[in-house]
Amino acid sequence: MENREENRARDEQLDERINRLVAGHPTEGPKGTRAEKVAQEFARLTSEESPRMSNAARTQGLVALRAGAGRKRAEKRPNPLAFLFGFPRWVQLGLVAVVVVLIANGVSSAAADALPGSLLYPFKRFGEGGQLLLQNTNGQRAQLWMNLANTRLDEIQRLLASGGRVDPSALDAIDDSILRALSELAGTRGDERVELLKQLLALSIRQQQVVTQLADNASPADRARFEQTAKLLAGVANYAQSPDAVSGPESNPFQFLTPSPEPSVTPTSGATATPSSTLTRTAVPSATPSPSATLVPATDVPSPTNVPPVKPTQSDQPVPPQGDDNSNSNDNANDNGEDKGGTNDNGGDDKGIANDNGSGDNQNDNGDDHGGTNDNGGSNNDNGGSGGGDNQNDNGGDDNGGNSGGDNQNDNGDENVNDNSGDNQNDNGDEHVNDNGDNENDNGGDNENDNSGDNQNDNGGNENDNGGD
Amino acid sequence: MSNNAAMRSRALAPEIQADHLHQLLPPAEARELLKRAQGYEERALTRIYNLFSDRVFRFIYYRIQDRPRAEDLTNEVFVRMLENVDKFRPSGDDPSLVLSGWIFTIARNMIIDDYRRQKIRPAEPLPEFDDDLQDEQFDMDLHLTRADLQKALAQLTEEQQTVLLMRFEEGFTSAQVGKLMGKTEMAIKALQRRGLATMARLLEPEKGN
Repeated sequence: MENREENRARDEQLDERINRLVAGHPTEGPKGTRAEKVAQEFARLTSEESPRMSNAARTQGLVALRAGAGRKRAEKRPNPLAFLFGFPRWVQLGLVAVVVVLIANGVSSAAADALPGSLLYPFKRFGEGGQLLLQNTNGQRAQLWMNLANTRLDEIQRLLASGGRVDPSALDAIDDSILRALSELAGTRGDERVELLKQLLALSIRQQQVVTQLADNASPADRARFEQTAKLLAGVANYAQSPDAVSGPESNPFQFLTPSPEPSVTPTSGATATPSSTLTRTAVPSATPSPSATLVPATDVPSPTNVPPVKPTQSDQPVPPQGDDNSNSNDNANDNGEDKGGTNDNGGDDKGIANDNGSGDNQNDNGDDHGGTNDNGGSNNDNGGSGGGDNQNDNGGDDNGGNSGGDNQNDNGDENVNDNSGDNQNDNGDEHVNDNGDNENDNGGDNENDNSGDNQNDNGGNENDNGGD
Repeated sequence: MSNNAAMRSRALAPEIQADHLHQLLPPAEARELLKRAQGYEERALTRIYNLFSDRVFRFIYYRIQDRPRAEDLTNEVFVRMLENVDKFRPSGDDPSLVLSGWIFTIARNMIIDDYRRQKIRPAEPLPEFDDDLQDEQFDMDLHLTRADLQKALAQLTEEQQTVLLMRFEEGFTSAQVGKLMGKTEMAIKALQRRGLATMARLLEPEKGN
């Protein structure tokens, strides 16, 4: 016990001595315990010698420290998924999947009201594509396409209401949705088909009204595009309420876009002047639904249902071997285009066939012209038909409407043929069949203008002639 | 008498030793340095390195007596400090002591690890002789070299070496060393006396041989 106390006292004494030594205080002479002597030497050596790191080692240490700090700073940057690291792997994957679904859901919800041109709009369309993938039957897809058509129209209305300009692609989207709905409809039957047709009818009528209204309020530049969609919708409405549409999948849902050609009237003059009657041309219905005028029995049209109905099919029937006639037919085609440029007929032409082909184009152009307006279109058709027997078909069009009846039809077509080509020999046969009197008058005026290639003048001449008749 | 000496030392020690530690690293700076180091701020880490590198080097060099290796280990101490600085939660009311103690504890552990790698057995405490405990007065002219000191130091236990180096090299008080090593102040004082007494016996020419 006493030893312990003594030892503590020695410990304290030595500790005090060391404190003084370390603080640089002088010791008290050579006397002292052994431990104090060593402590004195220890303090002396540590104060005299102070080894330091070499500069190389110091530099190396600092470089390593700074590099480590940089790496740590990079690691310390917040990792949004860092909280997942403590969970098992399957929990991490599950949580990530849930988050992805929630984000996707949020984006799609936010994109639901997106309008064309906005950042979220592509997400919206992408989501619609995903919906389509989930539909198993034609009926479901047809239903969805109809809904999407409604959505597209709604977007256009909202866009216009907000003062934005409608991009033509938005109307293309309506057309596309409607046509795809029709395409899917072809694969349905029975009650489902009837029900879908009802919906399609209601949809197309309503949309046509809206689009027509929008066309009236649209700028002149956009109006034609609206009218084009309105015509398409009218055609769809006509098809949807036709008895043939209900008949079943074999019925061509695009028949309203592809009227069957009427039987050609074979000219008596011979086979060389007989045009092809196998041409299938696109006839866009007029703005006011009139089934009797636009609907043609589907069974007469061998057009495939899956093919987009915009492009007309065209046979390779040889054109009558009349060099001048051929050139005339080309002229007519161009003329039609020019004529329409200034009028309302352009709408019809733009959509369907435009100014494209050779002699065959005349026929198509004629059809378009009819769809648009009255006399001007009609006259164009007739001129275009100068390639030969096509005039007969043209005659069946709108030119005749209201004016002078069958005479005019035949006259115009025949006159043009004769005048333009200058091949009076061939065409005279045709002319004589019907309208001898008219031909005389028309030939006079038309021939002059036709030679110069100015179809516009020819049209005017035709109109006048018609009126006179 | 011994009680009076003990009271004097308690009264004297703090003002001497606290100055030494806090002159080197004031508490406010220590607190700030630690905070910035935990954000891996380069300047703070450089400051810590400059403050402690030579001290840590000496602490290690006294123990392993291999300069290049001591330098390598010193740099490893700071790398290990960097690796753990974000997890370090200082405890205690003296930031200077906390930061210094943490770094020297890393150095101490580094030396122990190095001993294990080198398969060096730690020194066993030498048996205490009765005469070591006697308050003998020597009229001895002891003049040691650094090599002598290191050689004798290496014969001490790891704790004794640490205590003596902390006291003489770093100037920590016994109380501070006790906090660093998790021991009482009295235990530190006993360790240092026994360590010095053992060194004296080893270094005394007559008895050492």
